[in-house]
Amino acid sequence: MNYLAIVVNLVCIYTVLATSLNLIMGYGGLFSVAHAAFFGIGAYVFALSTIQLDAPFVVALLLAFAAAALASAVISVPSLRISGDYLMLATFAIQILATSLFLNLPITGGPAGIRNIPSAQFFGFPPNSRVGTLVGFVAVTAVCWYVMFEMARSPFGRVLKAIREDELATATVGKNVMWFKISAFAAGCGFAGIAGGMYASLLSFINPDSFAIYMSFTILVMVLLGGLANPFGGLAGALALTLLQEVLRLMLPSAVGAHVSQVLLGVILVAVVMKRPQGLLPEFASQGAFATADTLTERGHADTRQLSFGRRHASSPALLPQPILQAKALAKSYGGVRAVRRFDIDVRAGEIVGLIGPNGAGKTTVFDMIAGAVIPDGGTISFDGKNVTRLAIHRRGQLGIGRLFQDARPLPNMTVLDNVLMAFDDLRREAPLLSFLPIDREREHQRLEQAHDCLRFVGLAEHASERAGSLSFGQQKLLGFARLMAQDARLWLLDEPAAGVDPTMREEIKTAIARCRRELGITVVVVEHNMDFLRDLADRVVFMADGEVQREGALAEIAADPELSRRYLGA
Amino acid sequence: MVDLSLQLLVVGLSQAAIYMLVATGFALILSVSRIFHFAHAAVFALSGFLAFLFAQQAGLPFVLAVLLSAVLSCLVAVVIYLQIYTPLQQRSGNSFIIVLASIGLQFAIENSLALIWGTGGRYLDNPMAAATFKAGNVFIALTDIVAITVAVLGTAATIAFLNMTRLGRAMRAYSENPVMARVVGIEPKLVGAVAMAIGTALLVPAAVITGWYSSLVPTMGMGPLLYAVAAVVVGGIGSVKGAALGALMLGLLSAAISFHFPAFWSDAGAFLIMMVFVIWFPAGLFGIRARSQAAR
Amino acid sequence: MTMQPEHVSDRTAENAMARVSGWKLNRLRSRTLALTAMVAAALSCAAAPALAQARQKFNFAVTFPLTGIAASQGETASKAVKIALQEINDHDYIGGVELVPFILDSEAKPDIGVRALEQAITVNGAGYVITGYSSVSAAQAPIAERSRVVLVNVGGASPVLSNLSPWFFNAIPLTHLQIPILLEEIIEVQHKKSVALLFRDDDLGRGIRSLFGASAQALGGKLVAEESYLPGTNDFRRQLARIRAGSPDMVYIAGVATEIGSIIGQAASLGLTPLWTSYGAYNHKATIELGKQAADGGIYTNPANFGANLKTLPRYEQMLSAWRTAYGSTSDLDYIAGQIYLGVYLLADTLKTLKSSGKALTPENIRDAMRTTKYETVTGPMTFDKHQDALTSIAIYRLEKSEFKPYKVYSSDDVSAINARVVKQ
Repeated sequence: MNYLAIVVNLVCIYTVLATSLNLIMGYGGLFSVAHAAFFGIGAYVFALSTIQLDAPFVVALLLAFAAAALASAVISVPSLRISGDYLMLATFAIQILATSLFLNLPITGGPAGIRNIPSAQFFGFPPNSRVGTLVGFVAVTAVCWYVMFEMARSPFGRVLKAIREDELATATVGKNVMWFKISAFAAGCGFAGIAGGMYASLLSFINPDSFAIYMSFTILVMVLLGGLANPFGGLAGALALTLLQEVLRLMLPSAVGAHVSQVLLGVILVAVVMKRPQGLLPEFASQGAFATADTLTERGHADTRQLSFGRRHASSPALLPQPILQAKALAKSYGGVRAVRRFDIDVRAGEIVGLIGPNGAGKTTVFDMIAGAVIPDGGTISFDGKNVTRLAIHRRGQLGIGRLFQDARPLPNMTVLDNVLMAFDDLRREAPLLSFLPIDREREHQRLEQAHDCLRFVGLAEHASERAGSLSFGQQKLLGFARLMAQDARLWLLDEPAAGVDPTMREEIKTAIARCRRELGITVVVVEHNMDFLRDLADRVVFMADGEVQREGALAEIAADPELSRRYLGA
Repeated sequence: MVDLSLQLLVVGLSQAAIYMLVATGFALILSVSRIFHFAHAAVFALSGFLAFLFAQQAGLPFVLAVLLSAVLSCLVAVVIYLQIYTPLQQRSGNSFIIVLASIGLQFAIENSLALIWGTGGRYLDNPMAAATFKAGNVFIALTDIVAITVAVLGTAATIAFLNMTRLGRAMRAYSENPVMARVVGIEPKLVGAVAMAIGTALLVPAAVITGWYSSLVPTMGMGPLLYAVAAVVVGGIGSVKGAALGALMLGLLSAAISFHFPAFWSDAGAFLIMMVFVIWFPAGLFGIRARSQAAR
Repeated sequence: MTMQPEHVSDRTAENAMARVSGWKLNRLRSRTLALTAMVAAALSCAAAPALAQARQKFNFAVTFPLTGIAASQGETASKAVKIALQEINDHDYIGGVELVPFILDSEAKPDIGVRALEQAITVNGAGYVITGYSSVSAAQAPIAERSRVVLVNVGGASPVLSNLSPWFFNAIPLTHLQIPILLEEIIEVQHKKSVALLFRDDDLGRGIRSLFGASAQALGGKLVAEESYLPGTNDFRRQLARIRAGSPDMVYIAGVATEIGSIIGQAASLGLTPLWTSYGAYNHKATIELGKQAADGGIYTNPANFGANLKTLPRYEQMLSAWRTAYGSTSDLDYIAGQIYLGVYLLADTLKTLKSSGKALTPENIRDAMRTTKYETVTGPMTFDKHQDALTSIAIYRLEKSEFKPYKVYSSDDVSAINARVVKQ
C-alpha cells in the first residue's frame, strides 16, 4: 500500500509537471526544454522554506510557485523576444545554467543536495502518514489541474492558442502577444514549482540530479505522449510513463529495469512522433466548451437582420469630413531597396479607398506600416487624430485598425467560432489571474451570441464548429471579415480580398464589404488587382508605383489614363 | 603562475579539441539538414564503445577497430537520418517534432549502451599514454598533440570539402537556399545523408581520445554535446567554421575561468555566453543573418 | 535534527505493541507482489534446502549500486550475500530463523537509493537494510527513521554519516577516524609535510574536506592545495594542474573507486606524481588499470581484515575459504564484499542474541541490541559507540606491484588514541 501510495504521488507530481508544460507548449506554442529547471527551483524553495522558515506545507508550496513563476518571468522578458529554434536554444541554455547553479550555490547543498525535508501533515492525519500524504497530494494536484484546465479553456487560453497558431494575426487583432506569452510561461513554470515542492516533500531529499536536462526531456515525452493541448494529456502521459517505469522497476529491480524503461521511453517517443504525433489524446477541436456551436445554429438564419452589436462608426462620409487615417511622407527601405519612397494618403471615415498598382509597388509595405507590422523609416501616420507612427502593433489593433491579410491568416487548428471569439477585447478572463475564476460569464455568453451573428452575417454559421484550416480559401477570407467585426475595427485594411477565390465567392465578398460599410459605418482601404472588383465598390482609388503615389481619383478616370495603363498595367 | 596558466592552456586546448570535433559535425548536420541532432551525443558514445568492442573485446588491430567503428556509427546515423528524420521533415516543417524524435533516440541508444556495456566505465588502452613532452614546467602529452591535430585537421578537411568539391558545394548551396538547390537538381536526401556521415565520422576520433583520457560511459556524449550546442550558437547557426571556432573559444574560456575560480564554474560561464548570444546576437559570429531574422 | 528515541517510541506506542510478533511475516504475506516473492523464493531455495520450511523468515534488503558508477561492486556484493546466507541458513546459525534477502539497486544515486529503500521496506517488508555510499546513506537515513527500520551502512565513509539517526548504524570506521591515522603515518613517520586534497563534491568529499586540513595541521603538516570536482566528471586535469602548482608531497583523493585510476593516470600525463593516498576506494581494479605504474606505492586506509601481526583474522579466513569454494578464486573479492558479508552477519548475530534472550525479532529490538552487543567480525572485534559508529580495527594498505597489501594494523584502541590526540591539538 505504501509503495502504491508513492507511485500515485509520483503520478500526481508528473501530472502537474506535464500539464503545466502542456500549458506552455500545447497552448502557448513555446517549446521549452527548461521545465526541469523550474521544477528544481520550486523544490529548493520548498525545501529551504520548510527547513529554515518552518513554513507549513501549503505556504511553502505557494512560495515555490511564486519563486518559479518569478524566475521564469525574469528570464522570459528577454528570452521571449525570440521564437522558434532560438527560443528552444535559449531554454536549453537556461536549463544548463540552472543545473550549474543548483550544483554550485551555497544554499542548495551542491551535489549532496538537501535532506531531511519535513514531510507534510494533512487534515489531521498523523505526520508521515502515507495515506495523509496521498490525500493531500491528490487534492493539491486536483486544484492545480483544475486551475490550468480552466486557464486553458478560458478566453486567456484561447488567445494563447491563437498566438501559437499565428502570432502576427493575433497581434493585429489587438492582443499584446508578449504579455500573453510571458503570463503563460510564468504560470506554467509556477505550477512546475508546485510540483517541485511536492517532490521535495515526498522524497524528503533533493539533489540536482533530479532537475537535470534529462528530466526536462522526460516531461516533454509525457506531454507529447499524452497529447499536446489536451487538458487530460498531461495526466495520461504522466500515468502511462510512471506505470511503465514502476512495472519495470518491480519486474527488474536492478538498474537493468531502469535502463530498459529508458530505452522503451526513447522508442515510444520516436514511435509516437512518427506514427501518432497527436499523442494518446488528440487536441479537442473545440475548446469554447461553455456553449457548443451546434446548439446555436438551430436558431434560424438572421442574415438579413441588423448586426446586433458594434457602434456604428459613421453614417456617411459627409458627416465626418475629418480624415480618419492620414499618412504623410511614409518611407521604408529594406537593405538598400526602397520599397516605399514617399506615400501620402488621407482617408475619410466611411470611405472605401482602392489602392492599386503593379506588383512591387509597395502596397503591402504600406499596409504593414499602417497596421504596425513594420515601423517606417520616415513620415507619420495618424489614426483618428492620434499619431500612431511608432505604436505597437497590438495597440493599433485596439484603437480600431483591422487588417485582412492577403493569405487571410486564419488560425487553422482552432474552430471557426474560436477564430472569431478570440478577437473580442473586453473579456475579463483574458487576464491570466482571473482566467480560472467563475466570473464574467454573462458577457462571455453575449459575445458568443455575437460571434455567431458575425458568422451568420458572412454566411459561415453552419461551419462554426469546424477547424478554420478546413475552410476553403474564400471562406477563410469571409472568416477574416467576421474577425474584423468582432475586433470592432473601424478601419479595415484589406489586402487583395478577391484574389484566389472563385467568381461567386468574389461577389459574396464584395457584397459583404459593401454591407459592412453600410451597416457598421466602417472605413476601408483595399488593395486589389481586379479592377472589376473595385468598380462599383471603391469611392476612389490611389494608384501607386515605384514606391510612390502616382495618381488619385475615380477608378474609371485612372483606368482610362493611357499613360498609366502603358507604363504599369501592361495594356 | 605562468606555468599554471600555460598548463591550463594545454589542458584547455585538448578539451577544446573534443568540443571542436563534436561541434563541427553537429553544425554541419544542422546547417545542411536543419536538424537539431541531439542524438549526436549518443552516437558519440556508441562510436567509443564500438571501438572498445573491436579493439579490446574482439582484439582487432587498433586502426581496423577504429575504422570499423566509424563505418558502423556512420551507418547508424545515416539510417536514423533516412528512416526517421527525413519522413518527419517531409510530413511537417516543424523542427520540434524532429528535436523530440532526436531526444527519443538519445534515450534509446544511450540506455542500450548501458545495458550492453554497463555504466561502470570501460577503458580504452592508450598506446601513447607514457609519451609526454616537457617544456619548462609545462607537460604536454602526446595524446594532447594528437587530439589537437586531429581536431584541426578534421575541421579543416570538412571546410575544405564544403568549399572545394562538387558535392561539398552542393551541400553549401542546399544549406543556403534549399528551394533553389532543389531546382538546380540537388537531391536533399543525398546531401543530408552525406552531412550526417561526415558529422558522425568526426565523432569517432573524439570518442577514442575521450576513452583514452578517462573512461567510456554511455553518458559521455552529453557534456561535449552541450558545448557543441553552445558553440554553434556562438559561432552562428549555419556556419560550420563558426561552430568550430566557437568550440575552440568556449574550451579556452572555460580553462581561463578555471585559472581563477573553482573549475566547475566554467560551465556556467560558457552557457551564460550562449544565452547572451542567442537572445541578443542570434546571428552569432559567422551566422547567416537572414535566417536568424526569420526565426524571430 | 535527529529525534530522540524516547520520543519516537511514545508517538506510536500502540503501533509498536501491535507489531511485536510476526512483524515481517504479516507484511510480507499481504504486500509482496507475486514476482518479487518468486525472486525471493528462488534466492532462498538456492541458499537453504529442505529444513527451511518450518523456520521463521526474516526479510532484509541490500541497497547497493548494481550498475552505475560502481557496477562491479554490486556483483561482488551479491556474491557476498550469497555465501553469508549459505553459512547462516544452511547451518541454522541463528536457530529457527531463516534470512530472506532482497537486493535492490541504488545506482549510487541518493534519489534512486531513497526509492529503493522505500521499496525494500514497503514491498519487500524488510526490517533491516544494508546500504553503502555516503550520499545514498545520508539520504536514506531519514526514511529509515520514519519507517522505523534499521539501516546499516557498510560502505559509505563520510564523517557526515556520524550520529545521523537512532535507526542508523555505521559498520565501517568513518573517514574522520581513518584520516588521522593516515596523516600520522605520512606526516610523522614518512615526513611528507605538504599535503593536498582532491575531493568529489558530494557528502563523502565534503565530509572529508571538513576535517582534512585541520587534522593535517594538528599533526604538523600543511595543506597546500584543495580542489573539488563534480560527480560525473571525467576530465580532472584542470584541478590537477592547479594542485600541481602547489607542489604537494602527498595528494589525498576523496572520490569513488572508479575515479581514482582516471585521476592518477591524468595526473601522470601532467607530470604530477606525488604519493597518492585515499580510503578504501583505492582498492579497485580500475586504480591499477588506469593509474598504471603511477598508482603503485599508493597508500590507503581501510577496516583491517588482519591482526596486529598482519595475519588474516579467523572470521575473514572463514569467508575467504567459503568464497574460494563457491566461486573458485578470491581474485574478485574486494573490501566491499567483506563489508557486505559483515553486514549480514551483524544481523544474524543480533537475531541470535534476541532469540536466546527470548525477545521478538522486531526492528526496535534489533536496534537496541546492536547498541550493546560485542561483535566478532571480519574486521576484528566491533562495537558501536554512542553515535552508533563502529569501533573496529583499521589497517594501512599499500599498492605494491599491482597488489593491495596491508602493512600496518591499528586496533580499535589505537584508533581511539590517535584520534584523541588530533582532536586535542
